[in-house]
Parts: sequence; C-alpha cells; structure tokens
Amino acid sequence: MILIKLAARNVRRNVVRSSLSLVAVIVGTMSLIVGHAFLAGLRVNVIRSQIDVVSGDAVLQPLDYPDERLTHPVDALFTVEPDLATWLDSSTQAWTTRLMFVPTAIHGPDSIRVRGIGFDPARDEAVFPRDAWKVVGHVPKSGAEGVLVASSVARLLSLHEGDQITMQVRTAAGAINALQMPVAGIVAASNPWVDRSAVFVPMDLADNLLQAHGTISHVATRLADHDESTVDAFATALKAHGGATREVSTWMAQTHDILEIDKMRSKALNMLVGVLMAMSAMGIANTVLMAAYERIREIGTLRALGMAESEVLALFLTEGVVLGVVGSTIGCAISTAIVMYFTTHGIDLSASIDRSGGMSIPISTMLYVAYESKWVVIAWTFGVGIATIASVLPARMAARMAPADAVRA
Amino acid sequence: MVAACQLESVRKTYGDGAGVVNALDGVSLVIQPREFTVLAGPSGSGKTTLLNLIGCLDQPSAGSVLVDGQNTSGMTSRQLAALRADRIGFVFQSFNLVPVLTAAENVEMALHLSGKKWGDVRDRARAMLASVGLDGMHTRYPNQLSGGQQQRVAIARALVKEPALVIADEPTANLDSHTGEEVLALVRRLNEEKGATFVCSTHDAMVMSRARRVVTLRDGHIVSDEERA
Ligand SMILES: Nc1ncnc2c1ncn2[C@@H]1O[C@H](COP(=O)(O)OP(=O)(O)OP(=O)(O)O)[C@@H](O)[C@H]1O
Ligand SMILES: [Mg+2]
Repeated sequence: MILIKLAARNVRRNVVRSSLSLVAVIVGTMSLIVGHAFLAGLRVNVIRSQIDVVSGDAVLQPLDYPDERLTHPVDALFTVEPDLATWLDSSTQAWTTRLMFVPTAIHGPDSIRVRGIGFDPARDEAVFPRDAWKVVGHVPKSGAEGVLVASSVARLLSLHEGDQITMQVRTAAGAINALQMPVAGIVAASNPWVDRSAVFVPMDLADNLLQAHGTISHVATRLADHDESTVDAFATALKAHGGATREVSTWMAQTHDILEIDKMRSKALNMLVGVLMAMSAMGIANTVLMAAYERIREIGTLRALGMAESEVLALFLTEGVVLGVVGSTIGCAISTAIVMYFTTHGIDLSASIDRSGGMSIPISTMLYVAYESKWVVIAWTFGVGIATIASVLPARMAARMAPADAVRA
Repeated sequence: MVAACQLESVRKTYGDGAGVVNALDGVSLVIQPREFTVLAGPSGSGKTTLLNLIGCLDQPSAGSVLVDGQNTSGMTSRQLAALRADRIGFVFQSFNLVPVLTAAENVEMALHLSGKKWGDVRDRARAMLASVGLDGMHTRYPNQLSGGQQQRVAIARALVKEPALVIADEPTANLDSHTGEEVLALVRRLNEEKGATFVCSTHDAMVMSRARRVVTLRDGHIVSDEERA
C-alpha cells in the first residue's frame, strides 16, 4: 500500500522526465491502433467496393476472362438457362446479369474508350446498391431513355444531361456498329472503377448495340453473408451449375492482389511500431535508471529501515509499470477517440486517387477507418509489457545495491 | 541482561590485493541497553564502518557482531534486513528523509517495515512526532522543514518502533551549533525517558561533552574507552 503510494509519488516527482517517457509509450500505442484502424478501413473499403460496385460476392463469367483494366471481350457471351436461373433464385439474396464491353464514346470532336456496362434496370440495384450514387438527371429504366454516364467521362466529353452520345463497338460477331443515344443522367459513384470510365447502358440497348441476341457476359450475385467461407462454398456450387465454359470469380480472388499489398503494409506497420516501442522501452529503462541513480541514498535509507531487496525491486518495477499503464491507457484512449471520429467522419481520398491515376482500383473515395478492439488490447498489453520488461534491469540494479554503500553515497 | 550490542575481535577490510584497507582491526566492544555511547576519532578512523557493522548494514570480515543477542555473521541479506527493520533505528548525518513522503508518512514507513503489529500506525506516528516537538507538522514534506526539524523527524522515525539500538552517524554535523545542541538535548531526553540505547559518532566536542561513554578510534583500533559522569 505504502509502496504504491511511494512509487506513484516518485513518478509524479519527476513530471517532465516521466512525461517524456510517457510520450514515447503513447506514440507507440497510438501508431499501432490508429495505423491498423486505417489499414483495416482500407481493407474494408476495398472489399466493400469490390462487392457493392464491381462484382458482387461472386460472378459467373466466360472461361479465362481477362482481369486487365478496361478489357471486356464479347466473343464468349452466354445465356442464363432456366435451370441456372431457378438455382440462383434459391441460392442468392439477389442476382443480375451484366453485359460488359468496351465501346468508344463519341461526342462532337471528342472520343474515348469507356467501360460499357449493360445492366438489367429491374434487377441491378439489388446486387449493386446505389446508396453512394449522386445522379444528375435519372437512371434510365430502358434503352429508350438513353444511358447513364459516369462523371469523369461526362467531363472529358463535355456531356450534359440530355446531350446525344454516340457509342461505337465491335459486335459479338465482329462487325462494327454505332448508335446514337441520349444521356439520361450523370452519375458520381464515389468509386474510380465507375467514375473514371463507366457508361451504364440499359440491357436492351446494349443488346441492340452488340447484336448479342439475349446473351450476356456476367452473372453477378449477392449473398446475405459476405464472409469468405460462405462465399467460397457458394462459388463452388455456382461453378457446378454454371457450365464447363464458364468460371466463377469471387470478391476474394478479385481483391487478392490488393489485399496482399495490404498485408505487407500491415507487416511494415508492425515493424515500425516495434521500433517505436523499442525506443519507448529505452526511454522507460532510462527513466527508471535515472530514478535509481538519483535516489541511491533514498534506497540506502529504505534498506536501512529494513526494506527487503525484493521490496526495493517491486518499488522501482512499480514505477515502470505505472509509466506503462498510464502511457498505454492515454495512448489507447486518444487513439480510440481518433479512430472513432474517423469511423463516422470519412476521409476524402479522391485527390490522392486522382493523382495515382488509380483508374481500376475498386475503392470508395471516402475512407472510413475500421475500429478493431483487438488492436487496443494488443497495444495496451504491449505497452505495459514493454514498460515492465524495461524496468526490470534498472530495478534489479537498485535492489542489489549494498545498503552500507548506498547510505554513504 | 542481554547486551544491546556485542563485538568480538571484529575486523573489516575493504578491497583486495595491494589496495586492501583495514578499516577496523581487532575491535571488541560491548554496549549495554540504555547506554548513550559516543564514537570519536579522526576522519578515516573507522567510525562509520563500525556503526555500519553494529547497524547490520554490513558484515565483518572476521570476528562476530551480536545485536540484541543475535549473531549477524552468516545471516542472509533478507535476515539482516528483518533484523534492522525490527531492532535498529538509524539517524543519518544528512537526515535522509524520503522526500515524497510527509513527516508522518516517513515515521509510519518505519512501522510498516518493522515486523510487528502496531495498532493504529497513524496515531502512533503522530504521537511520536509530538514527543520530538513537531506537534502539528505531520503533514509537512521534508522540504518544508528546517534541518533541525528534519533531524527530529528522523529521530522520531528511528525511535517509533522501539528498537534495541539507535545508530546515529554524525547526527549534528549538518546542523548549526545551536540546533545541534537542541537535537542532542532531545536525544539525551529520549535516552533517559524512553530508555533507548544510542550509539553516535561525532567530531563535535559538544556532543562528546554530553556523552556518558566515549569510545575513541584511531586507524581501526579502539584507543580509549572512557566512562564520564
Ligand atoms: N566502501 C569502501 N571501500 C574502500 N574503503 C573504504 C570504504 N569505506 C570506508 N573505507 C575506508 O575505511 C576507512 C574507515 O572509513 P570510515 O568511513 O569508517 O571512517 P570515519 O571514521 O567514518 O571517517 P569520517 O569521520 O570522515 O566519517 C577509511 O580509510 C576509508 O577510506
Ligand atoms: Mg564517517
């Protein structure tokens, strides 16, 4: 009891020195928690964007479908047989067909290659939610109403709602075809995969343009549960029902490369935090060592009063642990506050995504960090543990001092 | 009656090889309970070394030291600590109060560390502070007290656990002569009233003049041992 009082007051006695070593612990725990919250936010963002915007949980697509940016061949289109449709109805929360192609969009003197997304106006929204969409004009419900153009495409082609746009393609059979159609609306989806290149074309119009005769390139599915094992099991079943000339690609497969980079970032962060923590360990070791040196006579006095070596050890260890507990707790509290703030207030990434030219990165331009309580627990434990370990040697040194020498000092 | 402290042919050497120092060489001494003994002698004569042995802060290189009937040779550092906690009070030249504890807490610390049960530790510490003339100062920290007051707290801390022996290494050396005299008067009064056994070292003629027994050391030997009236 009196030992804890003594240790706590000694920590307070050297406010400046203690604060300095506290700062090191605080920074260490904070970088661990905040860093991982941002990485997790990025990961969640990538996965959610992939599912909500690009592929749903899993897509059925032609065998060996390329995954380079802006490549959508139309030479192996297929139809959804009634058996498959029935099975999809019973096995998914929602499913829809898409006909992806790469037309040249022409307006006046300007033309660019875009990502043509033939979509089923009745079913698409159930798989690809539009909560994040900002639409000027409206989303066409049929080919007669025209197309929905992504914001960057509209800017590059100087298009406005009501303008006419010409779409030129190679049909499924290889002939060249072009049609003029009105712009029903302009969409900003907060996602570069859409915003940088997409033109949404109602399925009947896309079919007409490509002379597809009812065939499509993708069946996109949405499940109630996005976790990996559920999606994997579903993908296996979908593959079995989808036919030999088609393959299934899950959100995990499509985000694999990005998430690998994310894992490396996570390792790099852990190493950085390791270095920071090693520095704070040295800070604490130094604080406790200085405390021991400047209190040699006090140690001698306490030993003369009959304090045992183990109690002196406990006294100085307690100082280190108090520093660790206070530092880690402050660090965890501050970083939880920061993380909580950014889980509700997103960070706008559009500028940096524009700079990196990340055309096909499926990521929402608003990053919401993800709070993971496990990192708070890890950071706190780590902070306290490091502080304790760092105090052991100096505390031992203090405890082992011969009392006769210590009082003489 | 068992002696407060009994030394038999004690030798204490520091260092080894060529640099060996015989700080004490063949010292035998018996101190009875309730005695007030002063150790005198020039600087380097071995006073502090002797007090450290009597106070169980250190062990002799040869010979035996008995404190309150217990032989300290062969004791572990834990046993020595327990013996100090229980039987020995210390007063230091530079007071050595724990700066982050109040006067009362400094005194309480001695009670907490001693092996005995003391009932109400706070009341006891306060009463002890009152008896050294520090009534009402128990909440002050050492840096809020004068040197003489600090030394009174130290004396209270040494005596509060009713030790067999109080060791004081030059207790007045850091005090002006007037305060030193007051502190010494206090020590003498406590020696008489409470029957506490004191061993002090000093260079101070005033302290020697107040002692009943003066043991003089030179080069690690006892050169005289006088009883005074
Ligand atoms: N830890 C040590 N290591 C080596 N020599 C020591 C040590 N402590 C004391 N000595 C030596 O032992 C001798 C006795 O020292 P001690 O401190 O007991 O003298 P003292 O009588 O207390 O002197 P003073 O009046 O100056 O305090 C001295 O020669 C001193 O140098
Ligand atoms: Mg001395």
